Amino acid sequence: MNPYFSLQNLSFSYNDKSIFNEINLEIQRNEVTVISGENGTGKTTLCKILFGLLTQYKGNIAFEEKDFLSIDQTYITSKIAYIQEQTQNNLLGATPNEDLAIWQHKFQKKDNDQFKETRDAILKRSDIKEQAEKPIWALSAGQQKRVVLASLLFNKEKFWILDDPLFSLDSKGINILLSILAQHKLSGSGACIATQRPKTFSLVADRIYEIKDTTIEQIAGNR
Amino acid sequence: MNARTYLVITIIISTLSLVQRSVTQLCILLAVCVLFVGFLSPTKKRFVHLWKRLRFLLILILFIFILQLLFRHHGEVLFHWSFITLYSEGMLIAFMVSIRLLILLLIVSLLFDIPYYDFLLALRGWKIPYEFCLMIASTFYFVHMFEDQLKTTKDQLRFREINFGKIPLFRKFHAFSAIIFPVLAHAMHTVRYRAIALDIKGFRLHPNRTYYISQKLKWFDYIIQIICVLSFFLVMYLLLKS
Repeated sequence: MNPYFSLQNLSFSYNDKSIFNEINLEIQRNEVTVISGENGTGKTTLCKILFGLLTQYKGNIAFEEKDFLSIDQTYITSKIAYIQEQTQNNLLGATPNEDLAIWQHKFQKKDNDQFKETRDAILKRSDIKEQAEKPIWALSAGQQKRVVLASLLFNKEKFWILDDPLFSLDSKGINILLSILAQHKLSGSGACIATQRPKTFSLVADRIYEIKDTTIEQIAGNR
Repeated sequence: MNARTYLVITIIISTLSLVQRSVTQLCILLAVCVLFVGFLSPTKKRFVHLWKRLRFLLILILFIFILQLLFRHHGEVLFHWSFITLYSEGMLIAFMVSIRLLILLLIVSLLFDIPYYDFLLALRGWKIPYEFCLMIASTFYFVHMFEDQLKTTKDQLRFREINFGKIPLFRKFHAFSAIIFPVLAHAMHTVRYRAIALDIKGFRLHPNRTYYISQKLKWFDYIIQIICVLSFFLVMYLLLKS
């Protein structure tokens, strides 16, 4: 099977500091790939590169067998859902309900009963139904994170790039995330997860990599 | 260059732009202003940043130019077609207002690149009471914060495949309020926590405070400041004389 992403001899530097030095990595469309590493090793940088936000790299990246740099960002956003490390940056609406509604109508359609029903089910599943109408900024970090994770359920057909999804989540929140991921995988879609706690994903992960000293190495999963 | 020198340049150029009364003088001042901005931000990155910051305001300046042109009905008639009549005074005022605004925007843009703490120290260097320094510096801090927040919002719209330009006109107002309201609310929330942080750090608890970093003027700061002040008085003298 052809890889979804294929990174060949990828090097990346930031302010003259080398982050990656000629790394090679393949990511499959239907697999859950976990990228681990200590603080500052380049997990977020890799996520940003894979989402097309950082383009000043050396080497080659093929996405769906095409040169990544030649692909339009609009196409990438239609294929990939990206959850950023800073929870607040993923939110747009004033309340969880409104934020999820924006995912649905995208300001193109009017909010309707069908949308509301779907939203209610998702809010319930993410255990934030009671906070649905509370201002986002009044929610705890964990509750905000749940709203962000709930938004993934509107992007079931996309490939997910999740940057530190465990940050500020409690054990209940982690279980919700793992069940969402398992369901996503069952439906034939995959994800790339950057985390410092790879073991948490051992049940759903197909491959686990570790970034260390500007290189990347597979430490568990399918070979 | 010291933040105080930036402040001196900004104060002098903005004051001169308000007192100048001819298009030629304003054009010369604009050229000086562009030279300053070019001299102080010679990197391509800073120019791109400046352009991004100013391009929306340039549309606003153009809008004001057209309004002045259409609704100032004094002086000689320069052009007439259907219901549109352009007058000489309208043309003059439109040019003057636009150039003046452009000078102010360009010169104030220099201040936005000064780090918050440098700004605070620069004002303290003039022995301005700390409360005032904090208020002025905070204004710039919040403009930066809004800028960042708006950029994040713009990114988030892109990530959600929302093209603001393609939203139907009648939904645009709803979209705009739905997007801007959380940005404002988030900023106010941050201000509240910032105020709490200030209280915790003993804001105004003692009459005097000390600073970990000291900002001293260097020889070129003195030279630039002296040249600027002398030029200011010379221009003012020439203006009053004429």
